[in-house]
Amino acid sequence: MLQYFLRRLAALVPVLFLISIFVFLFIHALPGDPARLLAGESATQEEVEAIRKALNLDRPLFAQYVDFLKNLATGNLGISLRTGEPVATMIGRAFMPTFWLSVCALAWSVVFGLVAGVVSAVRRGSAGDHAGMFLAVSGISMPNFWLGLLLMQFFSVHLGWLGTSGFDEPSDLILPSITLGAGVAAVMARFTRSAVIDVAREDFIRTARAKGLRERIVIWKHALRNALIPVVTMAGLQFGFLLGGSIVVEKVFRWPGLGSLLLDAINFRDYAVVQAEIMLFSLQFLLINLAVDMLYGFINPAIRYK
Amino acid sequence: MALVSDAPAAGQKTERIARSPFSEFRRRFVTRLGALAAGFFLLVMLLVALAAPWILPFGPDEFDYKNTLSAPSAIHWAGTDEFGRDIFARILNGAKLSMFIGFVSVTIGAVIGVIAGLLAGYYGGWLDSIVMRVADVLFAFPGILLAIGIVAILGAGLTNVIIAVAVFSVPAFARIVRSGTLGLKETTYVEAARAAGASNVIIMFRHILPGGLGAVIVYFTMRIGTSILTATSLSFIGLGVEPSIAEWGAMLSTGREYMLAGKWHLTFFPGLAIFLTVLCFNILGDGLRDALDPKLDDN
Amino acid sequence: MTFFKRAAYSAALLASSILATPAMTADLAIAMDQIFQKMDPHNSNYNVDYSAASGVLERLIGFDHNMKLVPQLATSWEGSDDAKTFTFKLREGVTFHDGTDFNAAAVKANFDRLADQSQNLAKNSLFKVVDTVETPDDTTVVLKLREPFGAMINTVAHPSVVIHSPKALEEMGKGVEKHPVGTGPFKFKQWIPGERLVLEKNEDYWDSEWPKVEQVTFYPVTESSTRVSMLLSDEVQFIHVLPAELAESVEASGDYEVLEVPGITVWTAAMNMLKEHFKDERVRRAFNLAVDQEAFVDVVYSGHGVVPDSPIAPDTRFYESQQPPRTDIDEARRLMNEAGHEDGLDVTIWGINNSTGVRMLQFLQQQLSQINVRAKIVPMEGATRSEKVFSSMVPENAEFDMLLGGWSPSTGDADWHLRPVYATEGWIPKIYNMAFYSNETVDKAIQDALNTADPEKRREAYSVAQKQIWKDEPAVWLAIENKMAGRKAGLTGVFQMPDGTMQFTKAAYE
Repeated sequence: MLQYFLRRLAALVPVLFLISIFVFLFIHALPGDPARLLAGESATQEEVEAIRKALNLDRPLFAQYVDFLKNLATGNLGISLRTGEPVATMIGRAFMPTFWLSVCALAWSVVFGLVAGVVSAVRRGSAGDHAGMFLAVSGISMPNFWLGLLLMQFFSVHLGWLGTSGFDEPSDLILPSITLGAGVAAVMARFTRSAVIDVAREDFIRTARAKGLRERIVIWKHALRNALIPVVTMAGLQFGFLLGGSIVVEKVFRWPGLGSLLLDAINFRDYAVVQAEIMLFSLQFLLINLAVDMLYGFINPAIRYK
Repeated sequence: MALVSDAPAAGQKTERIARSPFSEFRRRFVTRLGALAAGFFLLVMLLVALAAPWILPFGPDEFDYKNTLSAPSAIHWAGTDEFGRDIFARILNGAKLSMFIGFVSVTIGAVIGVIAGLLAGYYGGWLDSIVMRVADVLFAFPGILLAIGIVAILGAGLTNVIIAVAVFSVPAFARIVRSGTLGLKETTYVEAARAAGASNVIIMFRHILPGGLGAVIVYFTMRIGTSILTATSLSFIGLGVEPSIAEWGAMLSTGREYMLAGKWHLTFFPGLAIFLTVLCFNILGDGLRDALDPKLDDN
Repeated sequence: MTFFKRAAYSAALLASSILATPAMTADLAIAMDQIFQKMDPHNSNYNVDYSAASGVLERLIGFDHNMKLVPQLATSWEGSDDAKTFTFKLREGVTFHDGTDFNAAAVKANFDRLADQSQNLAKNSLFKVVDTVETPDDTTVVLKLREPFGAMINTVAHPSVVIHSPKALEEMGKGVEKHPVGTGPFKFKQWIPGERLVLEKNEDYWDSEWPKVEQVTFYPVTESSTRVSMLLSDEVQFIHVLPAELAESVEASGDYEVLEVPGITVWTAAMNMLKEHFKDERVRRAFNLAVDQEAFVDVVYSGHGVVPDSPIAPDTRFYESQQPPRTDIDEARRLMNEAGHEDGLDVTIWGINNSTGVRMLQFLQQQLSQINVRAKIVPMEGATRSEKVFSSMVPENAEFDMLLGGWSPSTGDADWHLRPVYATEGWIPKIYNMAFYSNETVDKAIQDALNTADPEKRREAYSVAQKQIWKDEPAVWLAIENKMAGRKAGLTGVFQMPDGTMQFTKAAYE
């Protein structure tokens, strides 16, 4: 199993390499000139050139790419063009807010989605099932920036119970994580429901039922346990997307996280930060995929690692 | 956005728990009825939007500086915006636009994805590896980020938003069709066609593709909803269509400036429009899946 | 993360408030509309940097709330008649935060740094004309210029011309931008880029009456409605800038006040005069006639602004009012027909993609549609705009027909508005002449005004320039926005300036 893990880990390298080329080309294809931005609108041409030289932005693209790779290999993410800080520091600072937000969003949405999904599966065809599934479709269809604005309008502006934005205290997590998790909860509910239904027709469940086990035990113990594999996969994938994909929600709530950092960096053509962040997102996504695969083994030992 | 998940896998499962014929009937009926209602709503919205210039007293771009930011009233059903433009008229105009963006971008994404998936699944080997590797890389990017990147490179504007959203759809279609192709190409029926001397192209498009078309159509419908969401998100963060155009995401984005001033109607109605439209596409997709996806039928 | 720290802070604070004096600690928190770049104004072009740094680093001459010159580290100053020699008398008994004495040598170190063009500092250009800096005695500094430059006093008052501790400059060089050391009422304490900047009271400030607050914290908050909610939830006591459309909601409760002063930023839509259609003055006239400036102020600034009646703002030195712009659609249509545009005209307008910028563009598009001008509006995000307009621009190939922009002369003097925006030497990408306007009379008048330090002669020259520019209409005049800020009631001494900076050194709670 360890061997399998290591082999999978090694297989990530070429993918990451591909992504690094992609990222580098992408960022340099963007129109915009960081030297000019740093100098400001009212700076003269000479000032801009001086800054360009100081930042090594006058070197050929290929040389800049090699620099980028070299630094990446040694764990050096570079220096932000905008603030002059090490990129690692900036990402480190922005990481925890996004992490907390994602964890909170995932926690409530998975619990909620699992329960709703199983209940719907058990009571198939009931009014509750229909209502639950309608709610789930609604959750998927809800533009999260709108949901965020509605929540903010009601709880922060109208009632004044919660802050409108930023991350200063734990209660600031409430609205953004509800907003971010809504879609995930809906996906989880739908997915769990169909996974449970799917498993429920397997032979061993029929056997269990035939043995006269109580329906509740059959569903919660046997069916759910086996339905858990696809559900864990889905939850893992969702987590990857939460971490990386909360850009819009962070924008709505001005969350000081990775999404805001990335939007700022893109707006400012802060190449070093954008490159580092996209690499990080990709790596994170690949690792989560790997972790999900590994988890299979613990949930269902029948799966063999070749 | 966070909703990749909606992958067709979620729905392709057979449902065979023992249940009464009545509840089965009711389930089908409700799903179909819901889908019917959703489809009907979308159709009506599109028709009204198309007919709006002849029905409504206001055009979407008609400004009235004496009457800005007014609350919903009998004359302006959804109020007016900061230029005194009728929000209801703008929402109807936005409906045309969003459906256009959704439909066109998913069509482009589907065509490219289907062809790539067919080729990859049918020929296998290095072609398959490359297509799937590229799909992996595309998948490794949060969709909205990919769209942001594409729009940032190409510049904002309708065409580029469509391209950005289309690219975002390609890998999913490619994967669906590939997996379908992998299964179908081993069937005796395809073997027979090959033995009868059919060319690869004929086999792919005449014998394999129709088998996977059900899943593609279902996914297509759901994808329109997601694409509308992505496109409006792009506009919301300022990377969408030209801001003067009545587009839902853009309306929400400018409207939020006035939210704190108590002008809720600027954000409420465009958001509701996005929500209802995407909801209807998703319900319609669910219904279609029931009706079309052959894997769903108990065989 | 932050909340753990916060929790620790508040626990510590609670403890200290129980143990120590019960009096409320007078701290000040301010939300600014942009991210801080550098705490070295010599090397920054940003108003937020100037504003925050002004607590730590002082200038020889400052501005009062009306942009009138007031003494700071200099007690008096004068210029020679030929506008080539300027003498400053310095304040005595001042020391820097690091204990270094403030004297003529300290000023010279800073002025030399600004004058040395090889330093590549963002503001070196301000001191380009400086030849030598002389120090006849410990409290006198004399600037000798290469050529006459009548606007020198106002240049020395520019918010970037601050005095760093010479010791800090020597030891840290460009590093002062991360850790400024000056003579101001506040000392630099901490800066987490993108998050906060903290200054603390300087106990040994030369004016023993000030400062009256213990600590000042700046938060960069780019989203305008967030700034407002921070003020309304008492997270900060001052917000700069206050978006005009939210002024009402700030004023509503009575616990907060809206500060509003006339600005000196003049917004225009420059008409690219290298394009054939805009070479025709009838077309430029028609465009100005088509746009209703009053409505512009109402729609874009919710009424918080004024219609310009000169290329420069009333509060800019040497302003002279001209005929106010008027709106006459029929006349405009007639002129367009006369100029041969019966079938209308297609133009591309480039602007800025923040909410106000987008509103401006849409407004222009709507107004111009009335004279059958089909405008394609392109709101550009900061980076793209910088590159396309100010970096890779070749005037002859410029793609835009019109370019929206606002210029604010940070020296408060007509020179630093008319020269960058309307003189031939200012053509973008060099400075800010976005219309590629070039007129000999204007160029000459601007130069004439620089050749003398005599205010009356300068006034005459600028009068000529303003008249000519107003007549030529290289731009559609739009508005002078009022500078708005929001403040907690009971706070005094914190206010915004017409040039877009703000002051907080005399902050006090009533």
